[in-house]
Amino acid sequence: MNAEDVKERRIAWAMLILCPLSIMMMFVYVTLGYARGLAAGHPVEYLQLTCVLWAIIMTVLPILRLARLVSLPLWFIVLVYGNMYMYVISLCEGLYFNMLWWPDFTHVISSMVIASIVFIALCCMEAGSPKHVTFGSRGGIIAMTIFAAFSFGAIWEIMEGFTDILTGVDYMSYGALHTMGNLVADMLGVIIMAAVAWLLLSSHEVKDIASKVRLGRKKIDTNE
Amino acid sequence: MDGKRALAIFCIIIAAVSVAAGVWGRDGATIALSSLAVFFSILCFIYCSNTVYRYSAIMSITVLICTVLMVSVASYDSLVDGGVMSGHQWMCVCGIIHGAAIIPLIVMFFFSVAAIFNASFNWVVVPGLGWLVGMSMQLPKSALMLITQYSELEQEIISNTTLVVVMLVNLIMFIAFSLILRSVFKKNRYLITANGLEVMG
Repeated sequence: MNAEDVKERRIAWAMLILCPLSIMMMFVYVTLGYARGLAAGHPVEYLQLTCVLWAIIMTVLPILRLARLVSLPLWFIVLVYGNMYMYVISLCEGLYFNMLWWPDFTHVISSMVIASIVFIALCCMEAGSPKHVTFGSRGGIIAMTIFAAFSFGAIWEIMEGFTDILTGVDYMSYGALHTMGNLVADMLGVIIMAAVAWLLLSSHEVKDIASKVRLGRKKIDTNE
Repeated sequence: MDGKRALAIFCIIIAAVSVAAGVWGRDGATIALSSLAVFFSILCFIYCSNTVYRYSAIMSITVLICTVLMVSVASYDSLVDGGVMSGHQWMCVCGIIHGAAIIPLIVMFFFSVAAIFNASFNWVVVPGLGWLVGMSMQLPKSALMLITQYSELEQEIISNTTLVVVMLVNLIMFIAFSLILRSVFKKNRYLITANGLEVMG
């Protein structure tokens, strides 16, 4: 086990203990009736269930890391977990109801996460492709990241829209203006993440970024 | 000026005419798609090799035809208010026209990226990412619709169902196009490179 592996395992253990614990503190906060989301109109069971589900979901990545199945870059983990915390806390605090711009803001952050996933996937593709297949200079990867990541906003809105069309209830979308606003917010998030990725590529090689993503026990053990 | 450079300039003019037609019809979606056509045809003129100009011409002409259709015979006023078809049928027609305009934009996106950044794409990358690139055009489309047709969106004249159905029709078209592209690229061993479409040696 090398020094990097030891560090990653320590972080995974810390995440495995602290993340569910902190979310369960939110559960207690909701159960005691202090959460402002209750006054804003969210049912108590909905907020409790959200806390429990996210506490479980947050254990997935650390467990996979400790089982030596998945290893991801730290900056990416911070972004993903930051997004999860933001979702749970803002829901419990009723920000979706109390602040009109909040849903758009969360779309910006979520699309940043999606764009980062696309960016990492493209780096892995570039690193693993034969020599005659390449995205070219860093601008090529950034352009591809922007256009591929934009698409997930539209795919998400199709999913939201069809959920409502099929169920006949406005669960997920609240009209055309809402959908349009979401898509524009998604666009902003992708552009911000593309700027971050551009800066990242100025100091790191594509292969360095790809090497931080290791899937499978063999790759993690050999630190390939 | 040689004929091929003249063709590239012609593509930019055709795309610009398409933008003008979109503005005249106050159709945000076609303004956005036409603007992308102008953008890609300018990139093609500056960066791409002569062999790519014909694809740029196909793109500009297709986008112009789709824009003219959307602001004239295929508009909501003509087809639905005119009693030719139902609202849901019009949504599908609208989706098909938008999809037809976006498909050449997808192809030009790959040619432009390859030329500007010295990239090279094969039968895995082009179809694998092609449908995603196509769906990405929905975002600039939405942004322009939000600017030019805000009141129609606010009053629900353009409903959420319209947006969703159009996007779904587009998605199906792009996936089908990507599958066709995959088999063509694989069979002919095509590569999109800085020099245009090449056959892998």
